[in-house]
Amino acid sequence: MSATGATAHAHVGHAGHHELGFIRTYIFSTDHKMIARQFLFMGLFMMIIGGLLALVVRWELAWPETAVPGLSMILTETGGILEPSQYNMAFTMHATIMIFFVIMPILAGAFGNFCIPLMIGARDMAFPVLNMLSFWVGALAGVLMLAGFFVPGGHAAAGWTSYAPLSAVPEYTGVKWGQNLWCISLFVLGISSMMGAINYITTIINMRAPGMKLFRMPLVIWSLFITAILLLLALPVLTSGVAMLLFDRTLGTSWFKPSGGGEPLLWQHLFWYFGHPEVYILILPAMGIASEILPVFCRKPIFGYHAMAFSMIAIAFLSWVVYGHHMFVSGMSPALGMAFTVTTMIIAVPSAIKTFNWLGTLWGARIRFTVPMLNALAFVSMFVIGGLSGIFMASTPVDIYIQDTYFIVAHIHYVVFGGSIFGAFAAIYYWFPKMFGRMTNTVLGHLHFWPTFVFFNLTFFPMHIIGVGGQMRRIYNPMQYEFLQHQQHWNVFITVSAFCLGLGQIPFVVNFFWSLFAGKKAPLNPWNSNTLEWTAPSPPPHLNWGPTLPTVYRGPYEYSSPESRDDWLPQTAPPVTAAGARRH
Amino acid sequence: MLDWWLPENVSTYGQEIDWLFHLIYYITGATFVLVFVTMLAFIVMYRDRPGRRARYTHGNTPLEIAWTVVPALILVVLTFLSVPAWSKIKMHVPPTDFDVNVTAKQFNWQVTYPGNDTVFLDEMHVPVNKVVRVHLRSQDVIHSFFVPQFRMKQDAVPGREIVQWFEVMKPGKYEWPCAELCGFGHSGMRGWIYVHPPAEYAKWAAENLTAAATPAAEAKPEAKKPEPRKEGKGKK
Amino acid sequence: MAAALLASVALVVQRPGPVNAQGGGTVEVTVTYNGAPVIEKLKVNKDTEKCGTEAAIEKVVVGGNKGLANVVASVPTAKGAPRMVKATVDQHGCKFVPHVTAMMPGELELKNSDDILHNIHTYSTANSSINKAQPKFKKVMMEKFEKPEIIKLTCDVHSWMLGWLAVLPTPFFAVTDAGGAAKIENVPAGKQTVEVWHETLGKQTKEVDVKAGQTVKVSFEMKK
Repeated sequence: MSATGATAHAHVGHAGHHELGFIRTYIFSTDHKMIARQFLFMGLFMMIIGGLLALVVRWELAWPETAVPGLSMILTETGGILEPSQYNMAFTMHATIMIFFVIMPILAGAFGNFCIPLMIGARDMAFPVLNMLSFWVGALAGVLMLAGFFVPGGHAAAGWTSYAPLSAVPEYTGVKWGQNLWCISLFVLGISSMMGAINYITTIINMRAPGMKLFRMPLVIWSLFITAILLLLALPVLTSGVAMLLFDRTLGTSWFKPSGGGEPLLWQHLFWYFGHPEVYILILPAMGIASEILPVFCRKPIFGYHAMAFSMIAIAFLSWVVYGHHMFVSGMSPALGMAFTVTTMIIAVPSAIKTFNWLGTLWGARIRFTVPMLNALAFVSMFVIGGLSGIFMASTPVDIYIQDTYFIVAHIHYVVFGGSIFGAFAAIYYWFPKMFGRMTNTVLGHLHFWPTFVFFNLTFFPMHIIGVGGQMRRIYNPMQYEFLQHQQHWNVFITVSAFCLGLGQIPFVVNFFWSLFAGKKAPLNPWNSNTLEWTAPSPPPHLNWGPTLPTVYRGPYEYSSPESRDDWLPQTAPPVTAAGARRH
Repeated sequence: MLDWWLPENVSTYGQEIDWLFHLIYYITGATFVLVFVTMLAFIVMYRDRPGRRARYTHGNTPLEIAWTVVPALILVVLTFLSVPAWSKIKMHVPPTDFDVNVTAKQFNWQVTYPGNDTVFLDEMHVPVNKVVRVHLRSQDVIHSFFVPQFRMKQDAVPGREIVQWFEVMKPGKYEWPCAELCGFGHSGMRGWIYVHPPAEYAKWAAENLTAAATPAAEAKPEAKKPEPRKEGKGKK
Repeated sequence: MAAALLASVALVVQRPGPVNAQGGGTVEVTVTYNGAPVIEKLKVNKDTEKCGTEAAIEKVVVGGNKGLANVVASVPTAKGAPRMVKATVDQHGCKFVPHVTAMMPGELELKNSDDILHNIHTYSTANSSINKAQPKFKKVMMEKFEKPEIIKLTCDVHSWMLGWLAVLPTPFFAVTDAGGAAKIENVPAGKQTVEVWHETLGKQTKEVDVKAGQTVKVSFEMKK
């Protein structure tokens, strides 16, 4: 279904060219590109906070009950030594911030907003005002979440998974307002994400340029489309769940409290019913980004475009029926456990298909090792490791041992850092020229990538080892356990690597800000890429293109096509002759 | 190499868990090597060099089918291999006459034996080579009964009783941590399970599990015997 | 005229006078109990270097002459200036020392002189409950208790630890010693009620007539 010309023209008419003041241009903008930048800045800012929290956690694990450098100003009562309740708060907030306020805003918020209209040939989102609201509601959620650090009793400390009754009864943690703010913030964020999801789905279905059939859409758009559907269907469940939790905490209800007839496991079902689709929400855009970047720097089409699209659909479908694998030892009926093992093993198949297709894209290629490409290759390789470690947990008997150990922490970080974050870095380096009209510095890009890749592996791979050794999650002092003392040196090794990993992000910060103001001005299409966004100026003006929208004649990955002397053939290049039946 | 770090297994069903762990380890290890070697080879062989043009292809359907079916088959087989162990460990408790009650709380394991009022904190005594049936409860939040060397883990959920079992093949003293975040005392919440040869167990039981003694005791500390103690909240 | 004004202002403002106001008497309280002591014993597996291998939970402590220790004696009808003495509870040897502490509404100093993780978990209704960890490197913690109430003190890390905090509306209180005796000084003269409270044996009250400069003795016999 191609875009309705009527909608496109209506946009041109409505926007007019009246001068918008500073506030309407930079603060309450309804332009998808500005909103994208806002999400990006919010996500990157929160990443600093989430990262620092991780370093606090890592310090404690390596050197328990010693003063954390730099914290003596804040933790005045103990001279900088973290108390156990504060440790619980640190890992809870590290995960909450990274998942909800870093990865989702950057991948879905920033790149969803930036890429969708530009890559399908639309002038903006279907609902620009709703789009603007979705950012500001999300920013409000961020403020609420950060506020929890400043209330008496401290912030939420029941884990990002917030299991009840620990989270439902303030007395069990000693945390009062922090956990309430956690609930309220996520409630508000859910609204923001649902608004965004509605926008993305509507825009993709209704506003594609002429010739942009569904199977000519770039795979990153497919991934964002499917992600939006998952967001729309999963978030209401989380939103309801956190509301119920808040009521248990403040209004005397007993959804999750056995003392009042409630059921603790109900929280887990609600949370993971959202939670598992959520992790696919976190990875699918990154998969799309990798599928986007690999063809460009391999100079050949993506291997198996249809398989790639269908496998993402399969992952999305299956994501609803695997959530019980988080609950194998929870007390849930073991017969259900049996069913979830089956579905969880099956969901590995579409991911495997994708991996092989990425390898197929590399085969016979002409690979250019640009900074975006390096990050995309890192994504593929690290995601493989994360996916393979998941197989251990899919087998219920093995999961009995592995559940709640550091093996899980290793798996999580290989997929969300190794996967989503490298995907985010790849996207930032790739689209920076189009977003900001400037090139990033290649040397700084390498100075960022290589330490990140090396220290990422040095930090997280040993976690598989200590997890197999039995180290539990969420403890702050492994030395309290005799069976863990022999592997404590791994914790020290991991912490040192983690600090190096943190330092390795400095070139990225420098590169980002320096390039924003002093980077080389970007040409229209620095990567010689086929997709539509590269036909708009760098950066695109309001309404993206001039009077005429682009027309699409072919799929997005026609690199090294025999029909062109160049090794690329844009989607918008008119066909030379009516020669030959072409697949797309 | 990863398996070097597995603690010694001393339980019957732990052997099946370890077998599955190793099987998955070899399969994923082989896959890892295959994918990485291929990727590295491609990255080197197909790097951009002047005068070359990339191979223009959109895919290969037979290959697509192959690498869908083969992983699917491997995973289906893994599923079938996992089912018997799961059923044995979590769905069927072998017949036995040895029961023990464990009620978790912030931040201790409270152990009692049927017919005896004494509450033992953070220690359990069981005979070797006997199926031990555990009645697991919690009186406040979710905790998790984890004994690494038994390959045993089960969440203790307030409001319900969950029955689990284990059978240990080697006498010894085994560490028993809590594996589910239960508050600020989670780190350090830990008990010990003592597995005794039959004669030694009989001796321990005779000394410690006599029927309820007099409730009042002298103020001076007594030799070994813990007095019976009414533990109010635990049993629901 | 000025003097009258000043006097009336003084009356209205009610500035608290010095503690040893003129006209106070001494109340000597003796509490006895005819029954047997109740001390529950438990084997300890955690932090044995500090807690030992056995814990004793002292619920009813009877000393010489059947004196009942750990009883809070107070004169709730007497009003006076707040005491300057700081209330302190120490977690020592995995016990709350003292087992029973009496204080006026205000701040309590909580000490952890063991080198291990303890926590303060209070059970109360008028005051909000507290559940806070006190790790070994946090040797002193201050907590506020603003409302009169009897509060139970526990430690979740060492579940046998039990203590009591009596937050009293009057500065006239004392806790009985091992012999069951407590002395409350400078009680305002006149008819007063003396109240005694024990954690398991309950409360009792008696009327006394306090005379300035003199000691009045009052004894209670607690029953099961």
